Amino acid sequence: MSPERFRRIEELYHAAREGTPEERAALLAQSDPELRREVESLLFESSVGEFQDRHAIRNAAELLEDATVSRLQLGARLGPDRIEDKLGEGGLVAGKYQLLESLGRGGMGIVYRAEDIKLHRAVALKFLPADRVSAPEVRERFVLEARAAAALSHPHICTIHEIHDEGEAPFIAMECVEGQSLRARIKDHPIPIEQTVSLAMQIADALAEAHRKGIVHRDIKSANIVVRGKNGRRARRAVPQTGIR
Amino acid sequence: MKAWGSGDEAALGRLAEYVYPELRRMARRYMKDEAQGNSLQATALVHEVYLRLVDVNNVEWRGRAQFFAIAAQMMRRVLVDAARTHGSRRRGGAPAKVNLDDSAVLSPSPDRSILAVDEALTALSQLAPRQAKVVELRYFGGLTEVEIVAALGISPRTVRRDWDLAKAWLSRELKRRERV
Repeated sequence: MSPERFRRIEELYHAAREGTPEERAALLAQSDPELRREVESLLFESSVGEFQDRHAIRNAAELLEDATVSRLQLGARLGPDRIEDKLGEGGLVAGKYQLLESLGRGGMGIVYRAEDIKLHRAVALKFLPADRVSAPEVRERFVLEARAAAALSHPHICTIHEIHDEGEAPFIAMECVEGQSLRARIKDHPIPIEQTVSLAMQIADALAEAHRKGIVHRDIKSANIVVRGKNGRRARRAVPQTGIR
Repeated sequence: MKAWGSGDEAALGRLAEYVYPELRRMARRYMKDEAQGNSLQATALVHEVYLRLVDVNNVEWRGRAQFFAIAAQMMRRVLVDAARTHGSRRRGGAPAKVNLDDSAVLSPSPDRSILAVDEALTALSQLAPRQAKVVELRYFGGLTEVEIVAALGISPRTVRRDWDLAKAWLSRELKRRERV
């Protein structure tokens, strides 16, 4: 690559990054495909970086928010500015999901256990963090993530039921896998080698299925794997956080 | 340092001759004394050298920024040399994940990520010297935005944009290398 080429990338990158989503789309559409690919991959990298940066800085804020979650579990009234407030009366989401408890949160989402009061089954609802909801590119990624995961059908991959991407609290409804995260499971006690191998094979099998469909998870880690039941006989990716290439 | 502050540009070169050995000596001593696993923000070292060599009360802002700009360049050399001496090059798989927002860390254990960042940054400097310089100052020297503005004589907006683009570029390059 030449410095001139870099300058063209630089120009388009900043214009796209500083423009509105519509302006960005128009700018990228006008440019030659190779330039466009370059700039898109950099924009993507930059958005990934933002999530990473935020993650580290927000720990303190998240601790505070967890206090809200425990209040929710106690059934108390919630303060303003929380995702839960935007969900309507009694924590009923989209008219049929009763929120029960928080299962965890990360930079990209907050997961609740809920009950589908029509079908009488447990589900997991994944919401975008309240402060990310208004960013169009974040919502777009959220939809892409759900779509990617929905394309997969595998015993070790969490099933997507639906996505609700309108309004102030978009969410993905998915199968609620009973168990604990692999991270929690191995935190204090080592697990026997046979079980380790078995889990690794199940995870690899699930990932292979995703790869066959052209989907790359990009954030496989122990916190994103749920080990089903007490014996951990079956592994599942519980929080699909997929990237597409 | 004073001579340079009062306009003697050649003094800058003489100053560098003091700074580099001082940085290296302190880095060595640090790495020898510290228990494995401990690490030190490289910028802390740069600041220490600054305090040792400079009459802090007597330096104007621009002089300070330029000192750190030079020290950053040298800190990069010290860190890269240290990583090479450890014989850590390309051994033991992919480099550790690099978070460019934290400045470089001086660690007694071999650090492959320093070499990876150094290589990617050298490649970037061929294409975009100014952007690469901003990264060097910030990552290896721990300069703040205001200090970079003073050291390079560019606007705060340019510093922010350069940093943003260079960071995206380098993260992408580092991931590509990891895959190889």
